[in-house]
Amino acid sequence: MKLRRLNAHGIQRLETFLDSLTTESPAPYPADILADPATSEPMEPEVEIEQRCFTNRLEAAEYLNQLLGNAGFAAVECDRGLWAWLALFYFDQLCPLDSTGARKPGERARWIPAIGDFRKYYRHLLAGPYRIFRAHREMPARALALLCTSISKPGDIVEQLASRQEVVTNAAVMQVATALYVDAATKQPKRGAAGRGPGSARRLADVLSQFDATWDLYSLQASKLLAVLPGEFDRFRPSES
Amino acid sequence: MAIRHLNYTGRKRLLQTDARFTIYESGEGIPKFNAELDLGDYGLPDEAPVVVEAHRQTNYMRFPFGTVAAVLAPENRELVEFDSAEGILFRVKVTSPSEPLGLLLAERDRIQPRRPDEQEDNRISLLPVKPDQDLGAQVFQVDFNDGPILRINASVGDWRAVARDPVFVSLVYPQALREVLTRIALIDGLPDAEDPDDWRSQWLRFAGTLPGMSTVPSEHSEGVLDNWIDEAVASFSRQSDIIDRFGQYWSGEGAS
Repeated sequence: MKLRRLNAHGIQRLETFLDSLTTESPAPYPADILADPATSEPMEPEVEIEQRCFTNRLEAAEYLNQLLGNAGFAAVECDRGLWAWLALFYFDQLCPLDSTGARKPGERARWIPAIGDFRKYYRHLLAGPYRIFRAHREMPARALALLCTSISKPGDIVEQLASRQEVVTNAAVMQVATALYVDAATKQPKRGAAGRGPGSARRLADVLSQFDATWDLYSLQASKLLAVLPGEFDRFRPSES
Repeated sequence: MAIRHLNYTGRKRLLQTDARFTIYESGEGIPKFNAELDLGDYGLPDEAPVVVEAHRQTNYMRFPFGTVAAVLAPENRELVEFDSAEGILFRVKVTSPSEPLGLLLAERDRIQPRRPDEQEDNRISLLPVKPDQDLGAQVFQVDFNDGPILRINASVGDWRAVARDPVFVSLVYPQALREVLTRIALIDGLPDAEDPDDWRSQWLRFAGTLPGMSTVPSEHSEGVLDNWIDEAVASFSRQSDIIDRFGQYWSGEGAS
């Protein structure tokens, strides 16, 4: 299928559809708005997009980066209509049926990016991982802490760390977060990394926020940063450090 | 309650007037910036490194700017990581020239650049008004992302005209004042010290100088602060003829 972007009417239709999912009579998937000229418009240059199955956010981001980067679209990150279209295109993966047979789409920013809102912009289920990937495209593996979960359930580590700009843009900090919270063997989040406990991602964000007031965090190396973290993070430290 | 950042190391806060940025689009649409930094009056070591950072959400770039005694802009100041100039903010950092390296000696963050065609304007707008595409079915929202901003739904069309409309002014602005003062006094907590550049201090000063008002009470109990906010909103409404503005619109049943 050719990649398109939703127009204002298309976004309105998407919102109506999402609203219906939390009622007792959910509307059917509105596939028509993806291609209908009344609800969407073509991207230029034309790009072919495939339905793919992404095992995690990294895979989705990698594919989208390749697709959108090769096309050379301008101002991709701010294109609400494009990201809303993509979210609808991959809807089945982004909002799978739960055990009761229902779909729970969650907040609107997961589907239509809240471009100007720094508390929410990263929550878009596809634009979020894409932007993190782009920020660390020289070495995406260092941002695995924010890219290793499924595209439908980003999880608490993403919520705690992607929301803090001084964290998500900082190469050393992302390397530390990945070393602490991603199991090197399984590439999955370690138990206890989410939540509010000692050494959790939430605590890392708080500690870094204090460090940021005293240190130029962007000048620090990952190994040095890891070394100065308080003892509560010891349970997550990689064994070789 | 917001996390407090304690300044144990005596880090200095650069004044807005000493870190001025201009942003413009270069030939191929890539944003580029100029910076004017005056760091001479802060008692910082001459050889302390100066760094400028540009940031917007997940986009970030860092530029070495010489030292305090010899501020030197790099030749290439193209912001290639950003696809537009919209919303880019700047941060200036001065760090320790000796161990412990990386210690912040002075900083200023969230500096909004001017466009080359904008006149230097020393007036401060306490409540900037901006259009917003993300408000869904809401007409407006007071946004505290970066100091209070009154966001008006871009779909209304001429949002500047909406912001000046008597009905909008009479219904929204007193409530916006209440929301901002409540945020400062009852949610975030009063600022620790008077800082002329801090938006919280600016709003408290504004409210404290409304007719009949005094500075924010030293007794910080919720009831006292609530009452002070009520009085500030009432005073603002009197001063701004809010009821008369509303009357220009409403002539329905019961209007006198």
